[in-house]
Amino acid sequence: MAKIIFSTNQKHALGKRRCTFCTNQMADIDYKDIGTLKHFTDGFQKIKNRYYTGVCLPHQKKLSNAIKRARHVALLPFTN
Amino acid sequence: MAKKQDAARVVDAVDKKYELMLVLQPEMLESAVDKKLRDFEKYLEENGGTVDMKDNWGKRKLAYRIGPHDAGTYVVYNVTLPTTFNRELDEHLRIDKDIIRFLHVTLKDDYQYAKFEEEKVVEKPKKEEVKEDRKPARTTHKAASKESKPAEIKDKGKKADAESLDDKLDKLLEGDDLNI
Repeated sequence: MAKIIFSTNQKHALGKRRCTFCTNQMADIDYKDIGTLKHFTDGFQKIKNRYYTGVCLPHQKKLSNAIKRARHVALLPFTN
Repeated sequence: MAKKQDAARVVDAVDKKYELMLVLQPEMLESAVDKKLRDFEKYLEENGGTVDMKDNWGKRKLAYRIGPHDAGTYVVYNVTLPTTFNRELDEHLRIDKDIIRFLHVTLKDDYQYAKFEEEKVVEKPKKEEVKEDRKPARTTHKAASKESKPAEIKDKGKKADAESLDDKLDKLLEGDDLNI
């Protein structure tokens, strides 16, 4: 697996936004990939809003699905 | 009508790819786990399925408590099953007491299984590297100080030599002065 580069989206908060999954050319998001999923969860283990992460809509849907699957198998916690 | 629909469902049975993730009880011994999995694979093959891939993750801590359990042994299967067999499988897994949780998902045809590293595994070596970087810096500093100290002593010696030479020169000069 190639290393994933996470775009912070702090510099271009509202202007140019870049989806991390589009830039890394990841078509699917795996629920076993906990390292990347944790980047998109809160301090309370909630799923971050895509307003703050800059993820595009089709990828956000896949992401939320993957996080929910990981929670079901106790790889990730529910809200803390 | 209902009978006709059921008949159609039976006819439409097609093989599809699935991924199964099982979370087993942590108190089971390794031999017991192996036996359990072998029996499970047999059960799959009896019902027209084939096991493409099997990955045993071993014991892991759970993110939250499930009943009395804090940990579980994770096993991942990639399987091709007939579509009619899914409900029966789910019930079979649900009834089994050794299986705490299970996940049964469809896969794309071009799916390739990949292992992922967790964050913690990536972070630890970085911290160690930083420590390693610091330690040699200290040692180098000490070494530099050690090196500098003898140098100073040497300098002192040189200074002493220079002083003695100066004294000698002074004496000579005095002598010269006297001569002049």
